[in-house]
Amino acid sequence: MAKPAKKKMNRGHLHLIIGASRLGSRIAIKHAKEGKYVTVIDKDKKAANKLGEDFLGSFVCGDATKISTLLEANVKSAQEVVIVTDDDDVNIFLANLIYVKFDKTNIVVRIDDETKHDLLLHYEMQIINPFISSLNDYIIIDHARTEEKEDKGDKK
Amino acid sequence: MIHAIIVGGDRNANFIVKAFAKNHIPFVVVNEDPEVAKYLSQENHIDVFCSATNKLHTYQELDVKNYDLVVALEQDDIKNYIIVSLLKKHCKVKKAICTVNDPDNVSIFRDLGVDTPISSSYLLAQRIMNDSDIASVMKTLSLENDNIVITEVTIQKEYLVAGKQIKDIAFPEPANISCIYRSPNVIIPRGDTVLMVGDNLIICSTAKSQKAIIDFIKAE
Repeated sequence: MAKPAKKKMNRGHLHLIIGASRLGSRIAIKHAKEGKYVTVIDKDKKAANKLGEDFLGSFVCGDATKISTLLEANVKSAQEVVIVTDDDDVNIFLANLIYVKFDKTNIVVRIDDETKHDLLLHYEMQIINPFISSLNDYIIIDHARTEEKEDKGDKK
Repeated sequence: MIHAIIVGGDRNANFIVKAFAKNHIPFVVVNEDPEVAKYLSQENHIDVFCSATNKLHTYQELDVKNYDLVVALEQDDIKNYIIVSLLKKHCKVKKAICTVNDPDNVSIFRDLGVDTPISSSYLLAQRIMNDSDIASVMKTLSLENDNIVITEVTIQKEYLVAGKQIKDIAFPEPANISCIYRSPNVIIPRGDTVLMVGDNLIICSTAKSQKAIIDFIKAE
């Protein structure tokens, strides 16, 4: 069931977030605070609690792999779809389903398993991979440390 | 000779394994449940590869590149979609058949590139529709995503077409009588072939024109 938004907000293009994981709920809260029109789908109604009492977006409790749930969440008017459930296979299926059925390509999808990245059917879809992000973070930290050591060496 | 890979399932996998073995079709079997893998292995005296079915490394280890057919029988529809996608994308497997539990997923899976998604509920509904819409003496088989239908019709004595030569029958829509079974003979029809009471006609047409053609044949 859709929960109506509490306050009047920007009813422009929708940002649809599928999966109210820690990542999904943070993205939803960020967009809502910026005054964007946000809807979150999660199959667990308790997941709505992660969005906080003052969340200004909508919450749809349901199975996003069902077309009826996507329609209830107004997928047709989505400007961006962010798919971040904790299941790679569901995320890939949903991304391809929303692309094929609703002609959306502005899709950001979480896929942990790198060997499945190329299962997405459209090249414009963007992938979030926590392992690659963490590795990149580490490389930046390591690089900064190396530069710091070199700087200290130069001063000596 | 086709080479097939059978993934997941339990009793249904056992049935398909036996059918493939009987028809001398080379195949490999993958199952991630150790108990089921053991059952399939003992029942059929074959090696069953026990590994995660939705992971690429499983199929890389098996070396199933360029196989002709994957049959995915997992209980989870989305898992079947991933299995089929991995095998088609990375191993260039040519054709994919998979079971789906949710009948709504039949058309979705087709749109997503699965060649033949099979739902027992969907087939049952289709069969009921065929049997209720069309007389019980007629059977249909759908091909190419339901675009082509092959209809079997038994000529009854009341039908206007009974006793007529095929060349004199003006079908309302394009159709082809591919074959006539007149016990005990199979007849490849020509224009001067006469339709006899009791003949079983095998008619090939498009799905759209099927109803008009059947109504025409049944006309009394």
